[in-house]
Amino acid sequence: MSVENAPVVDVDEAAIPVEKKMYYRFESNDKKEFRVSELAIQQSETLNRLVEAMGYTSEDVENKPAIAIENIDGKTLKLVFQWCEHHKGEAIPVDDGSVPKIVEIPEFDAKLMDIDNGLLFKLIWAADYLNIVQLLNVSCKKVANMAQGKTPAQLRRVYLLPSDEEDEAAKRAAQEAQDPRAREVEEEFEERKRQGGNSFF
Amino acid sequence: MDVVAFIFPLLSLKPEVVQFIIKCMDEIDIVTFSLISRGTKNLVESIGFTATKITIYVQGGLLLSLKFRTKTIDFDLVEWNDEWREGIDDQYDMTVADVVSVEPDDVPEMVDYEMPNFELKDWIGHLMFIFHIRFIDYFDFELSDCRFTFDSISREFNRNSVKHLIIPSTGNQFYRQQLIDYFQAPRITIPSNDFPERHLFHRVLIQNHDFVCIYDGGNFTLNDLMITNSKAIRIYDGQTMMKTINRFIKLWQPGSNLRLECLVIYLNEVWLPQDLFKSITYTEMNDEIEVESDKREEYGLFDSNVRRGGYAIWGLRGIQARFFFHDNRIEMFIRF
Repeated sequence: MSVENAPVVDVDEAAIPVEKKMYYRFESNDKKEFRVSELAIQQSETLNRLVEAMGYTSEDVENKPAIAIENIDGKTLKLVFQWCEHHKGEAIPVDDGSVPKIVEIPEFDAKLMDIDNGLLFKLIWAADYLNIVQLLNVSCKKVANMAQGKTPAQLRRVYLLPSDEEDEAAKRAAQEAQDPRAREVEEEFEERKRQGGNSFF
Repeated sequence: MDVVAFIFPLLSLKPEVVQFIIKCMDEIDIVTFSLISRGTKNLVESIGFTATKITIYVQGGLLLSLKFRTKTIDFDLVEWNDEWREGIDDQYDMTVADVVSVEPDDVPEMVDYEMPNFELKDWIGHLMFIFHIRFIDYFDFELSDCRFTFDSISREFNRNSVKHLIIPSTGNQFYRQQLIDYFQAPRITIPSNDFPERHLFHRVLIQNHDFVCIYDGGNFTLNDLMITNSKAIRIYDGQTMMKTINRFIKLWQPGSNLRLECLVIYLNEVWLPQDLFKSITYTEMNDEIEVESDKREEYGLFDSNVRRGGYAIWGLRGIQARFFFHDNRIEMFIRF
């Protein structure tokens, strides 16, 4: 996608100070390009450090290739940057260690996250990867809210959790896959025991 | 929406994120989540969420109350037997309810759990494990109402699992003694008036409990006080005790009750220092002392842990005891 055609995500012009704004360009793994304001980027610790380290000028931003975010697709990245633009300038919350976490989901975030669970999964993954604390908080809260009013059996289905038996079977399979020779030795040992042999070697 | 859209592959996320999601759940949902499998139980344990207090009330049924920072959740672990209500006195074995009803104090609806493989012991052990509780804080018996056999109680509860045993004033004497003898609780609340055989009462007092709380303490004697070898003693309804306490102080000064750190007495009348300290040298103080916060619960103090002024007397090797008078309450703190 060319620089001219790159979408600018929800920019509230009135809220932006008079000084010249800088927009960084990012590219998703499916080659979709986004222009994101410097202030919005501050919501992401990962991206903020990245652009600081790059030390781009306004000219560099226009002339150099967009910064590639290879692990995130365009659909997810669009949601991420929409969120960052809406919440730009807001303080980044600090974890106070309390449990359960008190997280309010604002109306904008609730609408933004009115998506299927596949995309919500990707959004959480992206928020964690890009270290966007408040986005991670609200998206995790949305997943936590799925548990409300459910029985253990219903919850197991919602979160695709294995039962104890499935867990054990998976563990056994993993062990066997890791060391097939150990399994063979065990079977041989069992066979010899059946035949009445005392010594394995 | 497609059914698949309701499924969220939780364990495909990073473990730290999964833990964070659990931390965002309500307390009752955390309990539900922990009941899914051994894996989820361990996951919940790993987030380090703790309950502040666990109390078991034994009445017609058995209620386990979990207190968190901002809410309380009650678990009806044992079904109320209809025959009890009809006045049949036979005792029953304590067995877990087929459907355990749970009542969070902030939600209007009850939550029901059907866990066919869970015994009562499993429920209690599970909740204590996930919320990092080592001891049952309070085990509160309503003996007149309790119809569980002693054998079933001793089967379901470890004798060392209770921190504070509360025995009410009415009920079967033999049954009560069985419970007191069985539970090795470091703190105990017992009635004084309800022990017709005094030696049984003394047998409880000499057990070196950390904290002894006496109610109906009207007939609590100097002898009773002298043999109570506890760190903290709290007495309610101490009606005719001024002379007793005066004599107790005189015996404490040369070295009796060496373990005592705190004595609190609730009275039905207001005492004056000059009466209490008759023939005892005392000094009115003006400084402030602070009861260490970890001692407050041990001493059964419910209000501020800072005390100002008071009256000081001195005992063996210069140990100071400080007295505070609040309306109908007298506190004695021994400063080491």
